[in-house]
Amino acid sequence: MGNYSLSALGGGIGLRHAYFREIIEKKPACNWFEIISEDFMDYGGRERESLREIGKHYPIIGHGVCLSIGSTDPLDMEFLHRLKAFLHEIKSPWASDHLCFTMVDHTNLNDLIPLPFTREAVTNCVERLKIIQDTLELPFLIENVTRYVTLSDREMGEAEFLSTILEEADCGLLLDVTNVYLNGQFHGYDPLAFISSLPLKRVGQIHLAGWEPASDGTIIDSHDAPVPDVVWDLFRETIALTGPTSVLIERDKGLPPLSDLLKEATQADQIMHASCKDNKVHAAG
Amino acid sequence: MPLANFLSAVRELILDTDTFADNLDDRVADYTTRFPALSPEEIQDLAKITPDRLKIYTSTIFHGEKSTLLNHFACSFACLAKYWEEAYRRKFSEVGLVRALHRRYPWETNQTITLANNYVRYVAEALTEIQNVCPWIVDLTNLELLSLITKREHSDVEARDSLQEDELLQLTVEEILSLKAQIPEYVHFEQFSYDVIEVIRSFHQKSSIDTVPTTKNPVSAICGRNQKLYPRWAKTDIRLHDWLRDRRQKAQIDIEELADFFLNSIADPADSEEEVFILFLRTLTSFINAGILVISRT
Ligand SMILES: [Fe+2]
Repeated sequence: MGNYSLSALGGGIGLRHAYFREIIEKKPACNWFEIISEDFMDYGGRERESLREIGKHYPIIGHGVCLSIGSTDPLDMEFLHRLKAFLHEIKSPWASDHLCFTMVDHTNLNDLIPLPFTREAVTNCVERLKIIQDTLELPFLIENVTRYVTLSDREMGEAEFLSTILEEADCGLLLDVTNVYLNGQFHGYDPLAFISSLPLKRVGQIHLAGWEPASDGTIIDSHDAPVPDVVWDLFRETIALTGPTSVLIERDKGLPPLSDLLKEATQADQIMHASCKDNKVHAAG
Repeated sequence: MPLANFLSAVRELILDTDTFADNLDDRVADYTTRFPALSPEEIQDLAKITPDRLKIYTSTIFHGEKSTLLNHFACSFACLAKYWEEAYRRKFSEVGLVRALHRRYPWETNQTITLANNYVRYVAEALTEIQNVCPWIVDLTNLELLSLITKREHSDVEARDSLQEDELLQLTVEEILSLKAQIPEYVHFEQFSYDVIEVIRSFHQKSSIDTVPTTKNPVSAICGRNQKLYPRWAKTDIRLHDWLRDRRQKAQIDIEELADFFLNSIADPADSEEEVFILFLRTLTSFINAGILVISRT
């Protein structure tokens, strides 16, 4: 077992449509796949059938983008129940979504918008996370998002905001190491110090991704490039602190051959195992 | 709830603000007028954010929506790009279109189908000038929307469950007439004013818009999904279209009944019985291949 009482599955990759056929036909070695739940849950047809076939051979974990955990619009209970049915159908051992808001005033922002780091936002998230966990009846992880802005840090900083919600809602952390690295760049803090200050016993999964700077040099968390060395280095230091867990290589655009992504997942596995060998305490955990 | 006002202001700044004041004091003044429910501290928090950082979200959001729509409406987007300048005397911008769509019909759910419906409605209701240049654009967006719906529909039966064309052709006439068929739940019936089936076929072959209807030419069509579960359209005689549509809820359709209808209502009386049967078989196999009819093997 890894942290937060979840299985440590090692390296896995995001399941994208472009890879369906190759995975179904060749069944390449891969510890697990993560899916965006909303890309499948309401649909029949090719997507659902491919997922069913792939799910016969690999663990599938549902990761969400639409729960809008930090919103002030009422929680969409009908959506939550559909999500629950889907996650249980695919036997997802846990579920996750982002600590952010994506809808407000019944308008879809179609992006992961960060929250103001205020006590009021903490209370709102905690209340909603309790309902989400009670409804889904699965271990639930919240993911730290990349943020290009600080909406408010008068009352507390990001690490305190995230840690307080994790403790008060009693949920797990999907630690996106790339997001921490990029936020460190955007807002001028030390990523490792940030990670070290979190309740790492709650880490149930890790995300790693890369980015290709835009032509004007702007960097966004675009998931369109291999994981860069700076993120591998930060991951190496992070995994030494968290112990074994499930590590996902996120890629959404500029999809490379499947074998390239699987190599990155293997690299994550190797770093994790090397780190755990060096650190007997965590290896035993 | 003050948090609700704050998040609402963030939404407005990201989605609905084209220009921002350059300096902090001017932004404070502007936001104080626009967001009277916010406290001075909250106004300060928002004003401190440099507009270029907020615009990163604006850009990723509308580019994301454009990519989603392009995935499902590639052909109508290509039509808009081709005829936009002629209709509006300015260059076509995909992201500009998506922003204008948002202003008129904000995306009110977390489901792609809502965005798709909004787009189809927007083209029909707001883009009237381009309809003068390519009047089939509304039909085309409807066709793409129905293809998307058909592709994702749940169904207990699929095209591959059907008796296939090669098996059908080995049967005797009596055996064929004794078969039973079913119309799967994903099947959609539609009538278009223009032959947009040919527009989309040619677009899929050539990735460009070069076959376009020159006149109104009503077309009845049925959308199913093939063995690989991709949507497929079959043009059909309107009487046959309506006959099948009226029976889509039935658990079973007798092929003999369908053949009778074909013979008595559709076939050219001048054709021989054999010619009519060959024509019927051709129609039947086109329905099987498009997953419009699923024929039981027993
Ligand atoms: Fe992530």
